Amino acid sequence: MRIYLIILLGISLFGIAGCEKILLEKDLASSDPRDNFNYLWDQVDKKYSYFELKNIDWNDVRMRYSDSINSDLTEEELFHFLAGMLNELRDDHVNLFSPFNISVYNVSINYNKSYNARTIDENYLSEPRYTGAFKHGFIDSGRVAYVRYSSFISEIKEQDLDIIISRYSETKGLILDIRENGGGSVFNIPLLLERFAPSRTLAAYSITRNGENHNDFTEPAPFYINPHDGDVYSKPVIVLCDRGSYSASTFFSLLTKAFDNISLVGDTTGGGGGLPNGGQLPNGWTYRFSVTQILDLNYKNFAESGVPPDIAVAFNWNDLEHDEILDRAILELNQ
Amino acid sequence: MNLRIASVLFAAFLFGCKISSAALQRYESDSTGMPGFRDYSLMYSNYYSGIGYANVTHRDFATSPLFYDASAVSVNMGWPRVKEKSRREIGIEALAGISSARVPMKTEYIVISSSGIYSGNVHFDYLRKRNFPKLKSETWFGLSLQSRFNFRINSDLGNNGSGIEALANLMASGRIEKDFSKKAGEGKAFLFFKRKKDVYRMLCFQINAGFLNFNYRPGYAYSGFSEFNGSQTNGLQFLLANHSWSLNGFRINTKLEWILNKKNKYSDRWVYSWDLIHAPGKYERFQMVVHTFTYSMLLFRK
Repeated sequence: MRIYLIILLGISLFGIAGCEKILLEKDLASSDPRDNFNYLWDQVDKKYSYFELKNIDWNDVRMRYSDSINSDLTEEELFHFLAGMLNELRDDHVNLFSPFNISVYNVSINYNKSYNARTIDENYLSEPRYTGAFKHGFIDSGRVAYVRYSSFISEIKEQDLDIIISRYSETKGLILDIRENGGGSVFNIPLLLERFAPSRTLAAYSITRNGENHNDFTEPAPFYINPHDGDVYSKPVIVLCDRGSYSASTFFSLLTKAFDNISLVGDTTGGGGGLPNGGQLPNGWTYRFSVTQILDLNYKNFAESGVPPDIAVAFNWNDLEHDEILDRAILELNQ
Repeated sequence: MNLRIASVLFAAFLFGCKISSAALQRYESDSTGMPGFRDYSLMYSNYYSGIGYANVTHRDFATSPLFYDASAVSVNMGWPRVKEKSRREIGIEALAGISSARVPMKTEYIVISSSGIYSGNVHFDYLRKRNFPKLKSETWFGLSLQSRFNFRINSDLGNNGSGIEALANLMASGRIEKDFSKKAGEGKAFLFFKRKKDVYRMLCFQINAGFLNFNYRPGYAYSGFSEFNGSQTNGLQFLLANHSWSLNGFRINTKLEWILNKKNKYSDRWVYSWDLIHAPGKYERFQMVVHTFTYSMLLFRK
């Protein structure tokens, strides 16, 4: 009996341990700066979605940065180099996450801000209500509805929208303010937009990197908005946007272009139309970068550099009692 | 989330124990003598239900070159049916655990990266007996159909934080069983003491090697936009839209069982199993090793 036990246990344990070593590839964990640099460069090269659109020579980036990478770099120095390499992509959906810092390109810092919450609170909204993720109220002597949605991360509940749509059903128009809305969940976009959709509408396409060549993409996948099966707002809608309207907000702004009853007022959006996917380096740090593109109905991509407004208006920071963008939206709804 | 899944697994275990207890009562009322372990195996349907510890190592090259090591709770149940010439078994196993990335040790700043892993495995074995008299053991050969489904969550990976893969394998299977039963007075219990009661024991070893290995893995960019049908788009369908089936890779697993039958009321079943998976998929490979130590009760039912 003991012989049986010894043989079978031997096969089970030691044989298995040996099999694992042989059958699985070696552990690739590494803190060597060169390993991490090469791994990150290669992942971006294989999957990033905006090389051609932004005219980025990724091989040239490698040449310029690889000379500085050597095994003597400290982790902070390595982070500095890798973050610099990623920022060559000029994309806020590209980040490097380490235990001590997160790299950010920061598109919006190159432009003026166009939103001041205090201006609205003190001069427009006398008795704002807070319903779920929304801050809202009557403006322009009760003729216009103002709805502020500050982040697409915030969950949108149908009952909250029912309350808002019902409350403002008699207004002349609705202003949806998504300035400085940095994005969030793409699933919140149709929940909000379907309240203004008169019919099923093809609003955009998306394409995803699917090959090693920089221009390898899937066939365009359609993005539809269906009208909500319940309370909807059928009057004109104006969406306020600015350079701080990033990611899901840019996506939302792009989709509004397919609807005749919705207009964009303010500044060009921040961009970030690509879905950012995450990964991990051999040293355990994580990263993300865009792997998709959003296209308009003509298959053109202007989402990454920002969706231009239908009516461009600048915020005057010398006069904080007026919100010129909001004023123009009110004027448009009263015409 | 972890607590909820652990509760479901624990409830499944308790449910299994309840069935076991009912089966035990039936067994006792049917019992008229003291036939051997093998006799009972042949006469009745067998049922086992158990709980154990699993050590899981997994690596998904689509998102990370690092191995993740997990400690997990495992529950299982199965229905073996043994006949004179054939043996079949249906079994299910579920495990839930937390895994940590095997990050480099020599770093200035400590990196902590963890992932939740939930995995289920279903198997159906059909084996035919083939006697080799010189071996003095029962040997069985046949097929095993196995399917494993994994769900992993790693919030550090953002939009790639949910890892889903399914594996389906048709495997060649071999099993050897050695009966070590002893009568009272025969041999020594614990090396020193005279054995006072009959004891029924069996050692089994089974190995399965996949020859048709299917895996369901993510697309080139791991995840991407697929058709979006407004708010009617199902989140899970959207997540899986870029997944596809591939026929490649390998899977091999072994199982070492020690079955101890006390007074024929029920059997203790101690199992060490090992499962190794390599699934290249179309673009990026997935690897997984599961070591499981389980205790289960094996009962005989009419």
